[in-house]
Amino acid sequence: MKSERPDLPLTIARLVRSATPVTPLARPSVRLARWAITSTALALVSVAILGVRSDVAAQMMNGWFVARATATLAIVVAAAIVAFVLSVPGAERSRLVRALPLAACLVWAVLLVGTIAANGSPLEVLLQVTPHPSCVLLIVATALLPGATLVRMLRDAAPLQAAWTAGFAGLASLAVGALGAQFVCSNDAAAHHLLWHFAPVVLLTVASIAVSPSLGRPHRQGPYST
Amino acid sequence: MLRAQQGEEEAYAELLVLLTAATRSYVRSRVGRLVPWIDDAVQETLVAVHHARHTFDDRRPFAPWFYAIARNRFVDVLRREQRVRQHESPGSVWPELASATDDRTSRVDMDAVQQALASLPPRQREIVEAIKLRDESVRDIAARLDMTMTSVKVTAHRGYRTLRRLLGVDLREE
Repeated sequence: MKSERPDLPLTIARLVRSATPVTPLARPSVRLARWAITSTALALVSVAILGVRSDVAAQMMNGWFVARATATLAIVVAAAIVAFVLSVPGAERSRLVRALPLAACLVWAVLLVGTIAANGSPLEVLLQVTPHPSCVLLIVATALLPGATLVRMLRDAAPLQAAWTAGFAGLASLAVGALGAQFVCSNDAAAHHLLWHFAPVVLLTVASIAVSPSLGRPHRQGPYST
Repeated sequence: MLRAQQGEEEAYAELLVLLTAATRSYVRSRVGRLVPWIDDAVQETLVAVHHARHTFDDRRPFAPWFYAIARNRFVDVLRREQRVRQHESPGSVWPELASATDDRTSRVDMDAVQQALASLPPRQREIVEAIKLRDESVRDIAARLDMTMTSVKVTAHRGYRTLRRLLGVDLREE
Protein backbone atom coordinates (compact mmCIF):
# COMPACT_ATOMS: atom_id res chain seq x y z
CA MET A 1 0.00 0.00 0.00
CA LYS A 2 1.21 3.47 -0.71
CA SER A 3 2.54 5.02 2.44
CA GLU A 4 0.18 7.58 3.86
CA ARG A 5 1.73 10.95 4.02
CA PRO A 6 -0.08 12.86 6.72
CA ASP A 7 0.28 16.51 6.10
CA LEU A 8 1.58 17.50 9.49
CA PRO A 9 1.65 21.26 8.88
CA LEU A 10 -1.97 21.05 7.78
CA THR A 11 -2.88 19.06 10.89
CA ILE A 12 -1.08 21.54 13.12
CA ALA A 13 -2.86 24.40 11.39
CA ARG A 14 -6.23 22.73 11.92
CA LEU A 15 -5.50 22.02 15.57
CA VAL A 16 -4.34 25.59 16.14
CA ARG A 17 -7.45 26.98 14.47
CA SER A 18 -9.64 24.93 16.78
CA ALA A 19 -7.67 25.77 19.92
CA THR A 20 -10.39 27.48 21.86
CA PRO A 21 -9.61 28.34 25.49
CA VAL A 22 -10.16 25.39 27.80
CA THR A 23 -10.86 25.24 31.50
CA PRO A 24 -8.16 23.15 33.15
CA LEU A 25 -9.52 20.03 34.77
CA ALA A 26 -9.63 20.03 38.57
CA ARG A 27 -7.14 17.86 40.41
CA PRO A 28 -8.06 14.17 40.92
CA SER A 29 -8.53 14.76 44.67
CA VAL A 30 -11.03 17.57 44.03
CA ARG A 31 -12.91 15.49 41.49
CA LEU A 32 -12.90 12.55 43.88
CA ALA A 33 -14.42 14.74 46.61
CA ARG A 34 -17.12 15.97 44.21
CA TRP A 35 -17.95 12.41 43.19
CA ALA A 36 -17.95 11.21 46.79
CA ILE A 37 -20.48 13.87 47.79
CA THR A 38 -22.69 13.21 44.77
CA SER A 39 -22.55 9.44 45.04
CA THR A 40 -23.22 9.49 48.79
CA ALA A 41 -26.34 11.55 48.19
CA LEU A 42 -27.44 9.27 45.34
CA ALA A 43 -26.77 6.11 47.36
CA LEU A 44 -28.70 7.50 50.34
CA VAL A 45 -31.68 8.25 48.11
CA SER A 46 -31.50 4.75 46.60
CA VAL A 47 -31.30 3.10 50.03
CA ALA A 48 -34.20 5.20 51.29
CA ILE A 49 -36.30 4.20 48.29
CA LEU A 50 -35.36 0.51 48.55
CA GLY A 51 -36.09 0.44 52.29
CA VAL A 52 -33.61 0.71 55.15
CA ARG A 53 -33.42 -2.38 57.35
CA SER A 54 -35.31 -1.95 60.62
CA ASP A 55 -32.36 -2.64 62.92
CA VAL A 56 -29.93 -0.24 61.26
CA ALA A 57 -29.36 1.82 64.41
CA ALA A 58 -28.37 -1.29 66.38
CA GLN A 59 -26.19 -2.54 63.53
CA MET A 60 -24.15 0.65 63.59
CA MET A 61 -22.80 -0.56 66.94
CA ASN A 62 -22.26 -4.10 65.67
CA GLY A 63 -18.57 -4.86 64.99
CA TRP A 64 -19.31 -7.36 62.21
CA PHE A 65 -21.52 -4.86 60.37
CA VAL A 66 -18.99 -2.04 60.82
CA ALA A 67 -16.10 -4.26 59.65
CA ARG A 68 -17.92 -5.16 56.44
CA ALA A 69 -18.96 -1.57 55.84
CA THR A 70 -15.39 -0.38 56.40
CA ALA A 71 -14.01 -2.94 53.96
CA THR A 72 -16.43 -1.94 51.20
CA LEU A 73 -15.87 1.76 51.90
CA ALA A 74 -12.13 1.21 51.56
CA ILE A 75 -12.73 -0.37 48.16
CA VAL A 76 -14.91 2.56 47.08
CA VAL A 77 -12.28 5.13 48.03
CA ALA A 78 -9.26 3.21 46.70
CA ALA A 79 -10.89 2.28 43.39
CA ALA A 80 -12.24 5.80 42.81
CA ILE A 81 -8.85 7.38 43.58
CA VAL A 82 -7.12 5.09 41.09
CA ALA A 83 -9.79 5.68 38.44
CA PHE A 84 -9.45 9.47 38.74
CA VAL A 85 -5.65 9.27 38.71
CA LEU A 86 -5.71 7.04 35.61
CA SER A 87 -7.97 9.51 33.83
CA VAL A 88 -5.20 12.12 33.72
CA PRO A 89 -2.20 11.39 31.47
CA GLY A 90 1.00 10.96 33.44
CA ALA A 91 -0.65 11.39 36.85
CA GLU A 92 -0.02 7.79 37.88
CA ARG A 93 3.39 7.87 39.56
CA SER A 94 3.61 4.12 40.08
CA ARG A 95 1.61 1.19 38.79
CA LEU A 96 1.61 -0.13 42.33
CA VAL A 97 -1.30 2.18 43.18
CA ARG A 98 -3.48 -0.15 41.15
CA ALA A 99 -2.88 -2.80 43.78
CA LEU A 100 -4.63 -0.74 46.46
CA PRO A 101 -8.24 -1.44 45.43
CA LEU A 102 -7.36 -5.07 44.79
CA ALA A 103 -5.85 -5.30 48.28
CA ALA A 104 -9.03 -3.80 49.73
CA CYS A 105 -11.06 -6.44 47.84
CA LEU A 106 -8.80 -9.10 49.28
CA VAL A 107 -9.41 -7.78 52.81
CA TRP A 108 -13.17 -7.99 52.24
CA ALA A 109 -12.86 -11.54 50.89
CA VAL A 110 -10.59 -12.64 53.76
CA LEU A 111 -13.00 -11.11 56.26
CA LEU A 112 -15.90 -13.12 54.84
CA VAL A 113 -14.03 -16.37 54.20
CA GLY A 114 -12.36 -16.19 57.62
CA THR A 115 -15.71 -15.79 59.34
CA ILE A 116 -17.19 -18.70 57.37
CA ALA A 117 -14.20 -20.91 58.17
CA ALA A 118 -14.45 -20.04 61.85
CA ASN A 119 -18.02 -21.32 61.93
CA GLY A 120 -17.44 -24.78 60.43
CA SER A 121 -16.68 -26.37 57.09
CA PRO A 122 -16.74 -23.56 54.50
CA LEU A 123 -18.04 -25.79 51.71
CA GLU A 124 -20.97 -27.04 53.78
CA VAL A 125 -21.84 -23.53 54.87
CA LEU A 126 -21.70 -22.23 51.31
CA LEU A 127 -23.86 -25.09 50.00
CA GLN A 128 -26.55 -24.17 52.51
CA VAL A 129 -26.82 -20.58 51.30
CA THR A 130 -30.18 -19.92 49.70
CA PRO A 131 -30.19 -17.91 46.44
CA HIS A 132 -30.75 -14.17 46.87
CA PRO A 133 -30.66 -12.60 43.42
CA SER A 134 -32.55 -9.65 44.89
CA CYS A 135 -29.30 -8.63 46.61
CA VAL A 136 -27.58 -8.44 43.21
CA LEU A 137 -30.38 -6.21 41.94
CA LEU A 138 -30.06 -4.12 45.09
CA ILE A 139 -26.33 -3.65 44.51
CA VAL A 140 -26.82 -2.78 40.85
CA ALA A 141 -29.70 -0.39 41.57
CA THR A 142 -27.65 1.47 44.17
CA ALA A 143 -24.51 1.49 42.02
CA LEU A 144 -26.15 2.68 38.83
CA LEU A 145 -26.31 6.45 39.36
CA PRO A 146 -22.97 6.81 41.18
CA GLY A 147 -21.45 4.71 38.39
CA ALA A 148 -22.97 6.83 35.62
CA THR A 149 -21.73 9.98 37.38
CA LEU A 150 -18.25 8.53 37.69
CA VAL A 151 -18.09 7.47 34.04
CA ARG A 152 -19.20 10.93 32.97
CA MET A 153 -16.54 12.57 35.16
CA LEU A 154 -13.85 10.24 33.83
CA ARG A 155 -14.83 10.93 30.24
CA ASP A 156 -14.44 14.63 30.96
CA ALA A 157 -10.76 13.87 31.52
CA ALA A 158 -8.59 11.84 29.13
CA PRO A 159 -8.20 8.24 30.30
CA LEU A 160 -5.49 6.60 28.23
CA GLN A 161 -5.91 3.12 29.66
CA ALA A 162 -9.61 2.69 29.16
CA ALA A 163 -9.91 -0.91 30.36
CA TRP A 164 -8.14 -0.30 33.66
CA THR A 165 -10.04 2.95 34.23
CA ALA A 166 -13.38 1.32 33.45
CA GLY A 167 -12.55 -1.61 35.72
CA PHE A 168 -11.76 0.62 38.68
CA ALA A 169 -14.76 2.84 37.98
CA GLY A 170 -16.94 -0.26 37.93
CA LEU A 171 -15.40 -1.53 41.15
CA ALA A 172 -15.87 1.81 42.92
CA SER A 173 -19.52 2.07 41.85
CA LEU A 174 -20.36 -1.53 42.65
CA ALA A 175 -18.72 -1.21 46.05
CA VAL A 176 -20.99 1.80 46.65
CA GLY A 177 -23.84 -0.54 45.71
CA ALA A 178 -22.60 -3.22 48.10
CA LEU A 179 -22.25 -0.67 50.88
CA GLY A 180 -25.77 0.58 50.28
CA ALA A 181 -27.12 -2.97 50.08
CA GLN A 182 -25.75 -3.64 53.53
CA PHE A 183 -28.18 -1.04 54.89
CA VAL A 184 -31.11 -2.73 53.13
CA CYS A 185 -30.37 -6.48 53.26
CA SER A 186 -30.94 -7.85 56.75
CA ASN A 187 -29.06 -11.09 56.13
CA ASP A 188 -25.71 -10.73 57.90
CA ALA A 189 -24.41 -14.25 57.29
CA ALA A 190 -20.86 -14.23 55.96
CA ALA A 191 -21.65 -16.94 53.41
CA HIS A 192 -24.58 -14.93 52.08
CA HIS A 193 -22.36 -11.87 51.74
CA LEU A 194 -19.63 -13.85 50.03
CA LEU A 195 -21.94 -15.38 47.41
CA TRP A 196 -24.53 -12.64 46.93
CA HIS A 197 -22.63 -9.43 47.67
CA PHE A 198 -18.91 -10.00 47.16
CA ALA A 199 -19.05 -12.36 44.15
CA PRO A 200 -21.49 -10.18 42.13
CA VAL A 201 -19.30 -7.13 42.75
CA VAL A 202 -16.26 -8.98 41.42
CA LEU A 203 -18.07 -10.46 38.42
CA LEU A 204 -19.79 -7.21 37.47
CA THR A 205 -16.51 -5.35 37.82
CA VAL A 206 -14.98 -7.66 35.25
CA ALA A 207 -18.04 -7.09 33.05
CA SER A 208 -17.66 -3.32 33.41
CA ILE A 209 -14.39 -3.53 31.51
CA ALA A 210 -16.58 -4.20 28.48
CA VAL A 211 -17.72 -0.56 28.56
CA SER A 212 -14.12 0.61 28.39
CA PRO A 213 -14.25 1.63 24.71
CA SER A 214 -16.78 4.34 25.61
CA LEU A 215 -14.28 5.78 28.07
CA GLY A 216 -11.71 6.15 25.34
CA ARG A 217 -13.82 8.54 23.33
CA PRO A 218 -13.38 12.11 24.45
CA HIS A 219 -16.56 13.48 25.97
CA ARG A 220 -15.49 17.06 25.40
CA GLN A 221 -15.40 16.98 21.65
CA GLY A 222 -13.60 19.96 20.28
CA PRO A 223 -14.34 21.43 16.88
CA TYR A 224 -11.48 19.41 15.46
CA SER A 225 -11.88 15.72 15.76
CA THR A 226 -10.48 12.83 13.87
CA MET B 1 1.00 24.90 27.27
CA LEU B 2 -0.63 27.29 29.68
CA ARG B 3 -0.93 29.89 26.94
CA ALA B 4 -2.26 27.19 24.64
CA GLN B 5 -4.90 26.34 27.23
CA GLN B 6 -5.92 29.99 27.15
CA GLY B 7 -6.45 29.77 23.40
CA GLU B 8 -3.31 31.61 22.24
CA GLU B 9 -2.89 30.30 18.73
CA GLU B 10 0.72 31.37 18.25
CA ALA B 11 1.88 29.69 21.44
CA TYR B 12 -0.08 26.57 20.58
CA ALA B 13 1.45 26.40 17.11
CA GLU B 14 4.95 26.70 18.59
CA LEU B 15 4.15 24.00 21.11
CA LEU B 16 2.83 21.60 18.47
CA VAL B 17 5.93 22.09 16.33
CA LEU B 18 8.11 21.31 19.35
CA LEU B 19 5.99 18.28 20.18
CA THR B 20 6.28 17.05 16.58
CA ALA B 21 10.05 16.90 16.96
CA ALA B 22 9.79 15.38 20.44
CA THR B 23 7.40 12.67 19.23
CA ARG B 24 9.59 11.82 16.23
CA SER B 25 12.57 11.52 18.51
CA TYR B 26 10.58 9.39 20.95
CA VAL B 27 9.39 6.98 18.24
CA ARG B 28 12.89 6.69 16.82
CA SER B 29 14.29 5.91 20.26
CA ARG B 30 11.65 3.24 20.79
CA VAL B 31 11.96 1.43 17.46
CA GLY B 32 15.64 2.18 16.93
CA ARG B 33 15.24 3.07 13.27
CA LEU B 34 13.25 5.22 10.88
CA VAL B 35 9.83 3.72 10.21
CA PRO B 36 7.39 4.73 7.48
CA TRP B 37 4.54 5.22 9.95
CA ILE B 38 6.38 7.74 12.10
CA ASP B 39 4.21 10.59 10.85
CA ASP B 40 1.09 8.61 11.72
CA ALA B 41 2.34 8.33 15.29
CA VAL B 42 3.20 12.04 15.38
CA GLN B 43 -0.16 13.03 13.99
CA GLU B 44 -2.11 10.84 16.39
CA THR B 45 -0.07 12.14 19.32
CA LEU B 46 -0.75 15.75 18.38
CA VAL B 47 -4.48 15.09 18.07
CA ALA B 48 -4.49 13.28 21.43
CA VAL B 49 -2.60 16.18 23.03
CA HIS B 50 -5.20 18.52 21.56
CA HIS B 51 -8.10 16.54 23.04
CA ALA B 52 -6.37 16.16 26.41
CA ARG B 53 -4.95 19.68 26.74
CA HIS B 54 -7.48 20.61 29.43
CA THR B 55 -6.08 17.82 31.66
CA PHE B 56 -2.62 19.39 31.93
CA ASP B 57 -2.09 20.73 35.44
CA ASP B 58 0.47 23.53 35.67
CA ARG B 59 1.45 22.35 39.16
CA ARG B 60 2.85 19.21 37.62
CA PRO B 61 5.69 18.81 35.12
CA PHE B 62 4.82 18.78 31.45
CA ALA B 63 7.06 15.90 30.34
CA PRO B 64 5.30 13.01 32.17
CA TRP B 65 1.95 14.29 30.91
CA PHE B 66 3.12 14.55 27.31
CA TYR B 67 5.11 11.31 27.22
CA ALA B 68 2.20 9.35 28.73
CA ILE B 69 0.14 10.45 25.72
CA ALA B 70 2.98 9.88 23.26
CA ARG B 71 3.65 6.39 24.64
CA ASN B 72 -0.04 5.50 24.48
CA ARG B 73 -0.41 6.63 20.87
CA PHE B 74 2.90 5.02 19.89
CA VAL B 75 1.81 1.65 21.27
CA ASP B 76 -1.54 1.90 19.48
CA VAL B 77 -0.01 2.82 16.14
CA LEU B 78 2.66 0.14 16.51
CA ARG B 79 0.06 -2.54 17.24
CA ARG B 80 -2.05 -1.40 14.30
CA GLU B 81 0.91 -1.50 11.95
CA GLN B 82 1.88 -4.96 13.18
CA ARG B 83 -1.70 -6.14 12.70
CA VAL B 84 -1.83 -4.78 9.17
CA ARG B 85 1.53 -6.37 8.36
CA GLN B 86 0.39 -9.72 9.76
CA HIS B 87 -2.87 -9.78 7.84
CA GLU B 88 -1.85 -8.25 4.60
CA SER B 89 0.67 -6.13 2.95
CA PRO B 90 -1.62 -4.71 0.28
CA GLY B 91 1.14 -2.79 -1.42
CA SER B 92 3.01 -6.01 -1.98
CA VAL B 93 0.01 -7.73 -3.53
CA TRP B 94 -1.14 -5.28 -6.14
CA PRO B 95 2.17 -4.73 -7.88
CA GLU B 96 2.44 -8.48 -8.27
CA LEU B 97 -0.99 -8.53 -9.85
CA ALA B 98 -0.30 -5.62 -12.11
CA SER B 99 3.26 -6.32 -13.10
CA ALA B 100 3.52 -8.36 -16.26
CA THR B 101 7.23 -8.64 -15.81
CA ASP B 102 7.06 -10.60 -12.61
CA ASP B 103 7.47 -14.32 -13.25
CA ARG B 104 4.91 -15.43 -10.72
CA THR B 105 2.22 -13.10 -12.00
CA SER B 106 2.93 -13.03 -15.67
CA ARG B 107 -0.01 -15.40 -16.06
CA VAL B 108 -2.37 -12.71 -14.83
CA ASP B 109 -4.25 -11.16 -17.67
CA MET B 110 -4.96 -7.46 -17.04
CA ASP B 111 -8.39 -7.88 -18.65
CA ALA B 112 -9.11 -10.49 -16.02
CA VAL B 113 -7.94 -8.05 -13.38
CA GLN B 114 -10.35 -5.43 -14.70
CA GLN B 115 -13.17 -7.99 -14.72
CA ALA B 116 -12.34 -9.05 -11.18
CA LEU B 117 -12.28 -5.40 -10.13
CA ALA B 118 -15.71 -4.87 -11.65
CA SER B 119 -17.10 -7.75 -9.65
CA LEU B 120 -16.04 -6.26 -6.32
CA PRO B 121 -18.67 -4.63 -4.13
CA PRO B 122 -18.87 -0.90 -4.98
CA ARG B 123 -17.10 0.35 -1.87
CA GLN B 124 -14.28 -2.17 -2.12
CA ARG B 125 -13.84 -1.37 -5.81
CA GLU B 126 -13.83 2.36 -5.14
CA ILE B 127 -11.16 2.04 -2.45
CA VAL B 128 -8.95 -0.37 -4.37
CA GLU B 129 -9.12 1.80 -7.51
CA ALA B 130 -8.51 4.95 -5.50
CA ILE B 131 -5.39 3.53 -3.87
CA LYS B 132 -3.92 1.67 -6.78
CA LEU B 133 -5.10 3.45 -9.90
CA ARG B 134 -5.60 7.02 -8.78
CA ASP B 135 -2.78 6.98 -6.21
CA GLU B 136 -4.91 8.60 -3.51
CA SER B 137 -3.71 8.40 0.08
CA VAL B 138 -5.68 6.41 2.63
CA ARG B 139 -6.20 9.61 4.60
CA ASP B 140 -7.78 11.38 1.63
CA ILE B 141 -9.98 8.40 0.83
CA ALA B 142 -11.12 8.18 4.43
CA ALA B 143 -12.02 11.87 4.41
CA ARG B 144 -13.80 11.65 1.06
CA LEU B 145 -15.82 8.53 1.93
CA ASP B 146 -16.41 9.57 5.54
CA MET B 147 -14.68 6.47 6.88
CA THR B 148 -11.89 5.92 9.37
CA MET B 149 -8.43 5.18 8.03
CA THR B 150 -8.59 1.76 9.64
CA SER B 151 -11.88 0.99 7.85
CA VAL B 152 -10.35 2.04 4.55
CA LYS B 153 -7.38 -0.27 5.14
CA VAL B 154 -9.62 -3.17 6.15
CA THR B 155 -11.90 -2.66 3.14
CA ALA B 156 -8.87 -2.48 0.87
CA HIS B 157 -7.54 -5.68 2.40
CA ARG B 158 -10.84 -7.44 1.73
CA GLY B 159 -10.78 -6.19 -1.83
CA TYR B 160 -7.26 -7.51 -2.41
CA ARG B 161 -8.20 -10.85 -0.89
CA THR B 162 -11.26 -11.13 -3.15
CA LEU B 163 -9.16 -10.21 -6.18
CA ARG B 164 -6.62 -12.88 -5.43
CA ARG B 165 -9.36 -15.45 -5.01
CA LEU B 166 -11.10 -14.41 -8.24
CA LEU B 167 -7.85 -14.43 -10.18
CA GLY B 168 -6.70 -17.68 -8.67
CA VAL B 169 -3.30 -16.18 -7.98
CA ASP B 170 -1.23 -17.89 -5.40
CA LEU B 171 0.58 -14.95 -3.93
CA ARG B 172 2.86 -15.17 -1.01
CA GLU B 173 1.98 -12.58 1.64
CA GLU B 174 4.92 -10.72 2.97
